[in-house]
Amino acid sequence: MADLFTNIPPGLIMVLLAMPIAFVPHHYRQFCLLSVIAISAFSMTVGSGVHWEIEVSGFNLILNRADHLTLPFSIVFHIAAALNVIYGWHEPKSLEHCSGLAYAGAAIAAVHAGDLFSLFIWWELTAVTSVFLILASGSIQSKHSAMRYLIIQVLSGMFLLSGAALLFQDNGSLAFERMSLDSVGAWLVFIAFGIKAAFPLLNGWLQDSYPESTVIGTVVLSAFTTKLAIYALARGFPGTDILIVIGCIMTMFPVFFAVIENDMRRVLSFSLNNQLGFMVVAIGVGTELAINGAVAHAFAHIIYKGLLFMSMGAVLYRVGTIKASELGGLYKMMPLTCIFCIIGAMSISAFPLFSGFAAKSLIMSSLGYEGLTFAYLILLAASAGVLHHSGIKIPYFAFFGHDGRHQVKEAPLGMLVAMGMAGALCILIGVLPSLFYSILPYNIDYNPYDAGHVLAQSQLLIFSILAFAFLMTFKIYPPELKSTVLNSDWFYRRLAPAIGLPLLRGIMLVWGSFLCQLRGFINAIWDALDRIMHSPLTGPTVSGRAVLIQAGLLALLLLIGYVAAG
Amino acid sequence: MKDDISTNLKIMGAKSKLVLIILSLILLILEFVFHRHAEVELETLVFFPALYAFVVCIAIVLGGIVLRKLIMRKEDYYNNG
Repeated sequence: MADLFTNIPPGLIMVLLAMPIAFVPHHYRQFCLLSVIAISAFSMTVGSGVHWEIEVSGFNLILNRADHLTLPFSIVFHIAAALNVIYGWHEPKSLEHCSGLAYAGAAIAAVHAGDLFSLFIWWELTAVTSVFLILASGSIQSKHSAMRYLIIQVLSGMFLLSGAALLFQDNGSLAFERMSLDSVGAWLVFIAFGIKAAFPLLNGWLQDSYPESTVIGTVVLSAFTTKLAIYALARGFPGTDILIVIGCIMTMFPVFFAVIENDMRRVLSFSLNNQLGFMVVAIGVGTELAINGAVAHAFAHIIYKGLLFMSMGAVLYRVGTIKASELGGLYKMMPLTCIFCIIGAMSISAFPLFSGFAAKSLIMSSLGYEGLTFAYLILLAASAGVLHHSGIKIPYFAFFGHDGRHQVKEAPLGMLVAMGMAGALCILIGVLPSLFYSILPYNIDYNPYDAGHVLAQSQLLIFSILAFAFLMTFKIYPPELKSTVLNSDWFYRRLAPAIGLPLLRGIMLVWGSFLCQLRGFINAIWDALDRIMHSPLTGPTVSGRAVLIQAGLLALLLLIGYVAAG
Repeated sequence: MKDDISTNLKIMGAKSKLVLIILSLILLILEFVFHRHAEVELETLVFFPALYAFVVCIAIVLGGIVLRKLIMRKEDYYNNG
């Protein structure tokens, strides 16, 4: 019996039980959800190795592989899934809870997939299950956004499947191991991962859809899809140089967007994108320290980013809007949410004693050791940028700033408990980094807390805040305006239709007139035939088209026979 | 009650600016007290993280202002049509 729970991949049970749990009454359902997550987490205790392998029509499918790389991702996915259940305790409807459970389960099972085909199955399942979290909003915008999200996610799966097929043709194996970008198959897989990891210009779906989801949905979404892609990149493409360039662009350019964006959850989505950049750079560096850094950052990031999304979700839940231009002055009415938000903000900004510092230091050091000065400076600038838009902008405009004249209550108990737990984890990781480092893929001897390092980081952070204060005092900081900030989704939401529709209309017009001409030509032939039959030179001999056609065919046959005989 | 929040915010703003300036000064002085950690050569320059962060943050915001001119649209941009 114990084998049954340990050999099946963690997460599978979450996917299977998501549907039946929908029928359990509200509060009991939350307990059931937590129990299922606990049972799934129990499967992790079996340790490293391949635990479930099946053969399907000649293909070896590895359904449960556990090793040093899967473990941290699996742990943090389970933590995030459990926190999400607690966060959404107030919600009596089952849709978000059950799709959230299946989504988390699919992501966890994907991490444990040892071959590209089973990875593809779970990869697509994360898309199909998570789309309901966006649809749950119920608005017409969210419906459209959900469809765009689904198309992009499924497209990513198609790339993965075609890449896997080509790799199978080349190597005769579906195993999901380290690849190099020297074949079309590997490139297709790389693009598939890149779409989900929100590479530059492939990132539009993230900022488009996450903020359209519900209060709970956005928190759930923020944890899994992108970090699954980070896992996949860390597994498939560590040490791939191009990732350093891609990652650097990813860290920098969302920062500018985040500064001018008005929707706070969209600001967080841009900042999520920037954080992924740090991980992508680290995977590109590919040393043991760097991979540890990428994994540590993903782990810490899921928790503090979840916490930030939770706090903004709580604000949205109570105030009814999440536009920076309409918020402000909530610190008195939602003091606990405010404190938790600040903990999340300090973690993402990598203040010493918070989780971001323990994680990001690994990445920065790995760049320093490899002598990648340029990348180092870019990431340092991006770190200052992170502090700016996530560390300051989010808490400042929501809870301080100006008086938004809202009269609201503190967030519901479930939300507060979840935020408290996430906040405690952020601090625990920051205070006890050695415990945190012990679950990372490689054993390392690294201590982020030497006085010189703390001083360097403190200077960076405090002077970034000083710059913000300077800009606010002299009123240079751009005011929060109701607006839409264009992003790479513009290419398929505006440019493609703007070029595509006239082009399509043009093609239809040409095709239509061609058909018209053709019809006229055919009619002219029939008319000519009719004329010949009605007034033949030799008098009325044949009647009707059928006879004429038969005569024509016979003549043709005769001709063929003649040629064949000749 | 509402005016309370506005005044409180102003007082808090003023206080935090003061704290911020004092903290910045302390951090600059500490640079001479013990060796600051540096990963790359450039970072060994005196006050590098502080100056770099300050300049970068202002550059990012100015960049944001320029970007706003280029890509900011009305709130209902995608909903019209």
